[in-house]
Amino acid sequence: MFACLLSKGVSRDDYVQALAALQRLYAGLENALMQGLQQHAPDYPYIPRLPLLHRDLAQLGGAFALNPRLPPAAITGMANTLGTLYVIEGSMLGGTLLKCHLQSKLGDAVTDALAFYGLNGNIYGHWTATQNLAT
Amino acid sequence: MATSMVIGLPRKTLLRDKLPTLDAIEQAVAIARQTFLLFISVAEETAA
Repeated sequence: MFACLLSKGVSRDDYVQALAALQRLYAGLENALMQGLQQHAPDYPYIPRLPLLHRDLAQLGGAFALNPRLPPAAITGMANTLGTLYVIEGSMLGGTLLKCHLQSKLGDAVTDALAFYGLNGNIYGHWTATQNLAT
Repeated sequence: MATSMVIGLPRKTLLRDKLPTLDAIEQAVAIARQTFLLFISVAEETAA
């Protein structure tokens, strides 16, 4: 599903479907992650992704998911927090490329719906923060 | 070392104060793997 976002023939519907899937995942995971960060890394500059996904989906007229995926485990310790954060922030590293590709292929149809993959224009800053947290 | 390489973190990073024991490292790797698999499963469900 996510691979098609980088295809030449990506459609607006493909993008909506991907955002909806991500929204399901983050709806189940993000709150637990933020609680872990609050406890173990309160200064970490995490930007909540769920509001960004909601904003993008709203711009595209997509439906919000009613069945969030539960997190794989309670995020209660430093190890769990770091392990989860590593994957969450690492998954954003392709965001800049995806954003440029979607803008180029879908143009005005998605211009105002790229908040999630844009992440305030600071994706690599977040990755650096993740690395710093682990050291 | 092999465990830390599973999720690509440098060994020197994982062995500092945040994850000071092998158990802590293995726990971090395990939940990273589970979280990654969660991404995959959501993508597969959506594509199905």
